[in-house]
Amino acid sequence: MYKKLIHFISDALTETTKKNERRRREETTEKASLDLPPEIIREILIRLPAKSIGRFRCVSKLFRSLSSDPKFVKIHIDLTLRNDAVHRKLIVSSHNLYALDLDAIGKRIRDLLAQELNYPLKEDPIKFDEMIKCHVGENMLKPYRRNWVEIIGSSHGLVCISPCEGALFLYNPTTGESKRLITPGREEFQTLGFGFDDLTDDYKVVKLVADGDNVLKSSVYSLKSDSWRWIRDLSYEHKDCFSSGVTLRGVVHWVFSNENQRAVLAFDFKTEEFREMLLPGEAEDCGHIYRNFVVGVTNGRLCLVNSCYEVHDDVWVMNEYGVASSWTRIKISLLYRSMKPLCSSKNGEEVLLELDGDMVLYNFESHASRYLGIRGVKLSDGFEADAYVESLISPNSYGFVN
Amino acid sequence: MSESNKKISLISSEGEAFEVSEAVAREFEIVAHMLEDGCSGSSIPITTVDSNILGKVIEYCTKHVEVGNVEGNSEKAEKDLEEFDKRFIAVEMNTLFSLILAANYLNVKGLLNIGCQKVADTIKDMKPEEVRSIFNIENDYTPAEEEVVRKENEWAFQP
Repeated sequence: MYKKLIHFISDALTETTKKNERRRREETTEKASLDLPPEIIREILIRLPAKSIGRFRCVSKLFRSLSSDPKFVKIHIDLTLRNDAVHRKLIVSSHNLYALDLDAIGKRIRDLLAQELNYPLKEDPIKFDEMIKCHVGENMLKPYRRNWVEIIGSSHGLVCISPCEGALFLYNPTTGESKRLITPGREEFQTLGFGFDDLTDDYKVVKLVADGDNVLKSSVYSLKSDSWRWIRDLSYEHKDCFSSGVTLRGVVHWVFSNENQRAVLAFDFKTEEFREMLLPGEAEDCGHIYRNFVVGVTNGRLCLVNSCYEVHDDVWVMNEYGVASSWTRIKISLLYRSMKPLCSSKNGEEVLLELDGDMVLYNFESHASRYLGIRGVKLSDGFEADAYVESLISPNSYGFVN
Repeated sequence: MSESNKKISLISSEGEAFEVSEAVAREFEIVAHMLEDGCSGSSIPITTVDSNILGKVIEYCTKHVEVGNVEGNSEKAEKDLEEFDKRFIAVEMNTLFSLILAANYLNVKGLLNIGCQKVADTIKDMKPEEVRSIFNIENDYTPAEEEVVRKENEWAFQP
């Protein structure tokens, strides 16, 4: 009788323990017993970073087909650009291409970690090599294993690069996919600009090519039509060195001169029209024999930087876009011969600069500056960089989006 | 009785009635449409949502209606609402999925949005196998097919 009771109690206890264990297991395991319909899975996928989406294409055929649809890809980049919490990346060109996390810069890390990128023509025979071999000999070649990659611009998840003379690519640094743009042979003295036209949802490249003295032929490439179209001839002197434009509000800007004066030339990717903005009169008082300027963007405002290879400590900022009388001279706490603003921090206070070959984070409010380095990368003079967001945009199948 | 004071009963799948103000009920777009279509009854059956989840969805909508009614909405109120959303959505996966399904059915866009974002944030660093387990999904690739898809998306597996 007692035995029976003890058995009963022990059985009941075991059962309870088992039940508790089961309940605990059910609570801790994240597995959900509910099935979500495809439209909800799509809503979840579209809120993920590009890299997670790429990985989850391996989950099932449904996950892959949902996230490969061009409309999905388009909505994904639009959401990414609207989301303030999204991580931005920086693409850096210095005898190779690197990507690094822009948010790490804000976290007071000096020694930044970069990831080497795969890009088109990376392993191509080097033209630069031949040139430098004559001057400096073989032993100096090691750091220059690759061609210099020009970064033309970055917009809506794609970057436009020229990995060697005459070759132009639209490149997605996240997926590594690229598309070579048809170019009509070799053209001298090219000036380029890259941007996004959000009216027609099209990626565009604008090109200014010297056509005789004081004439620039302008043409624009549209990714959707995959072709170039002549726009008009402009009366400016060509530039004797490479220069890519600076894009702000869907408009790309360069400094050009004609017989009378130097001016900011602006091309609107939406309207495909050019306009000219006067430089601040006093900027021309720099007093050096050779005078030159480049445009940049600081905190969402157009700025003008001296580029005459003499030492300067000031920049001009256009406080009201398009209004020449709003140019204001700002003295900075650093001296420079060459400088280019690369991108601004999210709060808009700090600007990342290329300053005489160094990467510097400069605060335009407090005028504090911080020199940054990339681990394992020796930055060359005139290294280039631009901010981008990670996207799934495929430059090869973009035209099919309606 | 003025319109804002009008009460509506929402009936859960178990038949439990939840009395809410019309303003809160209208946060459910599906209910708003019913009311606009002239459905004048004061009790509306929500047959696919159980009491537990319906209660939660009502809690969410009530809070959002309350904050929306405050005039000259301050930054603080917006911050509070953000905090509320964050706490509200910090639930285990099964409940989260139920909330998302209910928000989808009832068409409560704000809740659908924060629910899907929460799932995305939770799974973003996971492996495909872990995601299959969470979503209760069977791998319908053959090993050869999976290898191809993995190759196509190799960029996404790099650190």
